[in-house]
Amino acid sequence: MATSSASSAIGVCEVSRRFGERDVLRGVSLRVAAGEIHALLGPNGAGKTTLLRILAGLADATSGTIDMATRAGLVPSGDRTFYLRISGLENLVFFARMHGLRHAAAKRRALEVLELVGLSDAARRPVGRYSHGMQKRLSFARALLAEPTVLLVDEATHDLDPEGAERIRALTRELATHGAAVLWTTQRIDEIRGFADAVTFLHQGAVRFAGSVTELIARGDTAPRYVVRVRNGRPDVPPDAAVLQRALGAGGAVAPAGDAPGEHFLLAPRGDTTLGRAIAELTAAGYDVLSCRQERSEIEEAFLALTAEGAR
Amino acid sequence: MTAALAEAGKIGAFVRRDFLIAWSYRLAFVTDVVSMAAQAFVFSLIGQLVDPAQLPRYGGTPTTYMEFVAIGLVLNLVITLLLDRVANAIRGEQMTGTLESLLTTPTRTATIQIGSAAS
Repeated sequence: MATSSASSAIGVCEVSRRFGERDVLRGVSLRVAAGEIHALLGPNGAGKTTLLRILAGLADATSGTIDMATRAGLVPSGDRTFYLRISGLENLVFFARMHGLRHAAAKRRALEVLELVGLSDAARRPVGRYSHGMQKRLSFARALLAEPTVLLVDEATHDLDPEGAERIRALTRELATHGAAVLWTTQRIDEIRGFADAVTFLHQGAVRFAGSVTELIARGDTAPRYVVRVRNGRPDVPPDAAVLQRALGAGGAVAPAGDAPGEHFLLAPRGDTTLGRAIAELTAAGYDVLSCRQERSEIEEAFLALTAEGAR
Repeated sequence: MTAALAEAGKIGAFVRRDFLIAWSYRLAFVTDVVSMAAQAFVFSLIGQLVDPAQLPRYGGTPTTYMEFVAIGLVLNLVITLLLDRVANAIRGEQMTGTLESLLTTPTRTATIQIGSAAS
């Protein structure tokens, strides 16, 4: 895992931002090293986008210092950041020229980055006819035009299908492998597992947590609940929570999952009872446990725990 | 000086972008051109009603009605550009969501203003 060091590509020190009477950022500090993917988490209104806007030079900090490479690429969260009537290629040529390239060089670079994000085939199609995922990839391509050493990504995957989201993450991983420092804000909290090297959690403008994904998971280490699908071999008599509870005894709590009677139940093992033992108890009582999944992921638990801590 | 030239070079990119956008609305583009031609034709007809002998001479050189009209139109264009076009162009960029993307590039604000209003 990449670690923060004095040679950080992004250095944010005690940054605050006030809008009128409202403190949107309160003394936020973080460092992102070259080659590191740093996830910036937090509920809506936590200040993530404001921090990214400050880093991109679109807003000023009220106080604090920023130390960052000048070549930064921004992938904004908004949908409409292109000229929809002209092609993806012409859009990129225009933005490349804004980066100071002459027309021929701009076109060459635009074609390169389109190839990189897999949009070569759609290069000459008006952006208005691109799908949402394609526009997002085009947004990535634009951010790469100036060969940035820092990539600021604002909720790039929040409304993409799983395949599109994975494609964007793979591209980001590739860039980080080549040395780019990535600051990645997201609401899709589970995507940071195996993807982000470090995490900063913001809540109400302040840093509530900074560390690795493993450390974050440890923060949400509460008793997990599982959704189990149970069948009792008698289609005429569906499984009943009270009967399941009796079978489990003091080893855990069982409640119906959802309002309608059915095969799904919430199971919360208690004390020393492990999940395996609880399932064994149900099986011994004549029930077939068809499936079992954790109700919420550890990261989601950590997210909720940190948000609740911040609200207190 | 080099930086200023590089900035000036970006104006061409704005012109190309705006031409491509205008061209994507084919009918509007054609009617705009027809409208300009019709306007010039109407002015030339009005010019025939004006007796050239009644127009002032500058340094002995006779002037035509169309020259007066051209000066008036250019003046009108300059006033429109200064008072209205720049603000509208920037507002347009803001509404389409492209302004922030432009501002993240190393382009001076003045270049964005001039470029957006130039075409």
